[in-house]
Amino acid sequence: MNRQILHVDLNSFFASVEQQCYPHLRGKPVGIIKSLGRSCVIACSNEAKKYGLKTGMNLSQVKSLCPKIILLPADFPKYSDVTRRFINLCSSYTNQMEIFSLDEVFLDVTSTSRLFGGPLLLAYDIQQRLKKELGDWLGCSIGIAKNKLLAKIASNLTPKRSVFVVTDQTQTDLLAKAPFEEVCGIGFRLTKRLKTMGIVSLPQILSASDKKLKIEFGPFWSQELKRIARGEDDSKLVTIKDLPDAKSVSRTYTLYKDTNDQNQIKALIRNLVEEACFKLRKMGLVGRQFGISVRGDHFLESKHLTTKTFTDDSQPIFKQVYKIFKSFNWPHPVRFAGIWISLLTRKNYLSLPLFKEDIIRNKLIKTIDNINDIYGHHTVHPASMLSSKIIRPEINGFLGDKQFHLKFRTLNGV
Amino acid sequence: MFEIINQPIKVQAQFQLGQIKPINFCWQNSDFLVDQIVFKHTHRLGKAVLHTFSVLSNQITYELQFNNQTLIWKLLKIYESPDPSC
Repeated sequence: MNRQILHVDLNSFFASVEQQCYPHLRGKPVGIIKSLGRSCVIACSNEAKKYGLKTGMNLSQVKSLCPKIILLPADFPKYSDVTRRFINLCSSYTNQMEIFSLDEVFLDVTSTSRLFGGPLLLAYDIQQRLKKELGDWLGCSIGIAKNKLLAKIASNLTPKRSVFVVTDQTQTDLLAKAPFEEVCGIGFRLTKRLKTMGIVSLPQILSASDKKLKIEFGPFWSQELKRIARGEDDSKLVTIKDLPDAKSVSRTYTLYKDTNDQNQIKALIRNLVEEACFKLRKMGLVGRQFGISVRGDHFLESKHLTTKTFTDDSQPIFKQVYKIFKSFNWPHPVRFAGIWISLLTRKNYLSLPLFKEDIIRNKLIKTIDNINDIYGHHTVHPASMLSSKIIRPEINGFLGDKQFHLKFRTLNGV
Repeated sequence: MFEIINQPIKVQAQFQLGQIKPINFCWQNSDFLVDQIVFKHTHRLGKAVLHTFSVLSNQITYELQFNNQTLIWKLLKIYESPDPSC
């Protein structure tokens, strides 16, 4: 029996939520920027897309294409709440659900669709309930197919607010029409390499010789590309329950302008480390590899170090990371910093601290976390962060640190 | 366009079966009747849950917020279309 997989994709998510919130914006071109003072749009409304606007365009380009564009700062707590309600709505149809990003889910309705009159009626029901329960301006496209790959291509290619059912008859046509950007698994670099070989569509991959593909992409990717081009995908849905422990935790931030102020840079790094360590502790994990990337003035430097002992304490991690930054002898202004913690394991796999000062330190961290839980993030924070505006945690559209958001925090109920 | 207000206000609201429904509010000595709630969302600030409502009153959108810990209502923003033909 063929599986019945739905890919549900909220249309122009961030912009539609704002248009739902502010009815005066409906029918007008709206662009979302991360915050005031940022220079590129992170999402556009359907009306803005008609002017050729795309995610990631800079503001001068946006304003030249669409002078009437209305720009709004993103409101991530609002989008997270809509996602939470969207997830709750979708979970009432099946327990086999994979949350792919902030505005996309996969549903395996093979064993439950008959309760709703079949997959097509189930899809229409989702669309109707979405309008009724989340807002009449919010719509979704739904692709129905026998696997995740085809369902996602179908929902990407179908017009907004519609349903596309992929059958054995329509599959070939769908795959022939699908541009590489809409195909999950073929990223920007693969697309570029395929184009240099003169391959611009999935049927062309199928007709390309195995030998030619093997020479260019190696034995694994040549077979993978053929599989994708045939529309084959037997991967299972990764439900919240199936999510493995995080392999790394990270936090990045781009400043509004370049800075040479060493206190501000130190505060920025400390702030990022504090947030990453908070996430680690909430997930019950500890790490022993710490890294930092710094960017500015068109230069980039990145380095990590590995220690023998695991920790989730921000103080020693910050010391290590800041030491790496100092070792760069960074002569340029800083615009961007990112830190990450990897080689993670569960804290309860480690032996309990033996020494009094470690026990006291653990209690102190736990108390600070409790205070911050009650009164909000960074209510208690290190003094080195005083010299700069505090950067608060936020969720991104791709749902970075998925395990943290889905299992422990933002999307796990209000 | 948007005007950020962020001021405490008086709100008459209905609390029923776990739902909050603002009915009218008073700001700068004027009363505003809520014609329609167009959107609502909630998020946490520590243990506090903030309930935010986008409401229409006389064709103008107001954003109201209720904090369940302090029990204070705030008017966060006002949105007025600059040019209806735009």
